[in-house]
Amino acid sequence: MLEFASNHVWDIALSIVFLFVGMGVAYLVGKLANRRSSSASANDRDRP
Amino acid sequence: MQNFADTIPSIIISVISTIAGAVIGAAYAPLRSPARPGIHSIHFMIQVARSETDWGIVGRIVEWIRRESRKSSDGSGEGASWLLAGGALLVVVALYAEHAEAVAATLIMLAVVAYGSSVWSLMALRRQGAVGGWSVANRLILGFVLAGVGVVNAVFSVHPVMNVGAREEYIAEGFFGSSSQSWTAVLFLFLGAALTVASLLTSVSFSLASSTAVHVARGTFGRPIWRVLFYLGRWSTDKGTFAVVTILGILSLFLSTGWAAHLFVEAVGATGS
Repeated sequence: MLEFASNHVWDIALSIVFLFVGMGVAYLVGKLANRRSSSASANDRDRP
Repeated sequence: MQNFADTIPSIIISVISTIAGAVIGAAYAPLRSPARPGIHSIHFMIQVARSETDWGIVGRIVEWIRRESRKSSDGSGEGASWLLAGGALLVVVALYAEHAEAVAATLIMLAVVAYGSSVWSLMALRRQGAVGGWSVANRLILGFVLAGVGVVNAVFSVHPVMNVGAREEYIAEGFFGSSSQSWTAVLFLFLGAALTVASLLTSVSFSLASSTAVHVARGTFGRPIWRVLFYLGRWSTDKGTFAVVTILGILSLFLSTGWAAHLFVEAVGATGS
């Protein structure tokens, strides 16, 4: 198992880095989209 | 230390990790006005996602291949096609013997990343009240069984218990130079590895389908992406697929540990003498 880990140390490091990159991007995009849609619906409500 | 130039497995792992990360990240983002209020089981979500992705692309491709093969099969080239299939099998077995470790390592990492991401995202979605019931726990246990069988198989296919060194002999001597015992062992190991690849790919698809089904059914931002990702793993949500693949995976332990080849060689030797 240790031999496997040392043979694939770059793959393991890359997978962890890209996992967090994907997480961060998806979270931020989802949050921004949600904020935009909720502010758009608030504007619609305020419109006379 | 791994050579950084071995890029193909690294690129595959990076892309899949980004997708797995995106599945988790989207589960943490606020849910956009859930189209189906109330807490539903994951089976319900899968049914919803299946009905939304009933595109039938695979069926059309299969139909096209069947039509083309019917057109081209006039019966004259049957011998040549058998010869071609035999040659292709030899090439694939030789490629497997050479790259067995890289294939096993890539698949193990993919299965672990996909299962980890499904656990993480389903926990986050459950915390948000997007999915509930025992179905999540059951789904995670089934995913663990499938990934576990695949990982154990992959490890044994690289380090078989019986016929140790047969793969190395096959690589060094080639098909014609190596002993019949060693190429029989490599052929059996290859069959075990093929079943291992099938069970690990099913495990990745199963994990992917579990978490993206909730995103599709709940209308998480980026719906077209979640639909495409669910479609990639949709086949693993078919009834019976899980059972068949798990049984085949457990049976392939017999092949990948080298026991099947050992018993086969002994049986052939006993009948020969």
